[in-house]
Amino acid sequence: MAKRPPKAGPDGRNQSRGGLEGAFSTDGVDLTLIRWMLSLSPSERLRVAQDVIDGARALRAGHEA
Amino acid sequence: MKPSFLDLLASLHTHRVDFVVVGGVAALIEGAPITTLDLDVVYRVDTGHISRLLRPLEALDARYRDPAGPHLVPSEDSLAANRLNLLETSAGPLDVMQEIGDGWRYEEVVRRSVKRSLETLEVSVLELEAVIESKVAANRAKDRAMLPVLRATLDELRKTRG
Repeated sequence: MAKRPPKAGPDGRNQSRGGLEGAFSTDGVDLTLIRWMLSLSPSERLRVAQDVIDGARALRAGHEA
Repeated sequence: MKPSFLDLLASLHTHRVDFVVVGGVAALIEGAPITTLDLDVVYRVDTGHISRLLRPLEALDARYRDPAGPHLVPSEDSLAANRLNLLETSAGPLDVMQEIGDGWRYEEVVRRSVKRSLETLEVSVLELEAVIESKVAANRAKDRAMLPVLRATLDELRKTRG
């Protein structure tokens, strides 16, 4: 199972970094998520995407059942 | 069979198809935190090789994705003629393309690719900088929307490389 991404605090701040500084690019891209992805191997990254797709399919199947 | 990027890649790999993973899955493998539903690959276009590409497509029960639903199956003729083949398969959506970006065919795309180990497979994947260039060249709304994340990922990647 792939590692979990860093959790944001209740105010949206990243708890592990203690604040918003450096957490977002000027475009508003979440850099913490990118850093987490880069910490994974290519296989793990593909597995993360597959898990997202499988989860969405399972939710849809549950909704339709 | 449920949709699986790995099963699609394994099928192409098993049948010794010359291909490069491009598009969203390439960006994902290179570290961009994005989701995508289809696997995009660029294949080598020559007569002998197109017949090799047809084998995994038959094994995967590939059909053209057509809203009108005529259930057209790919053939050597269609794979030789169509620049873009949007297929649905037993392992999920698969787009097999002769070229991307500014007319980059397999020979150019493979030159801009890196080898990545995906479970037990070794697969050629378009490097992130080239994925960005191909998205800029395509200039579709969905490509433009993805660019900030891809560029930020490339920046972070460069920082980690030093």
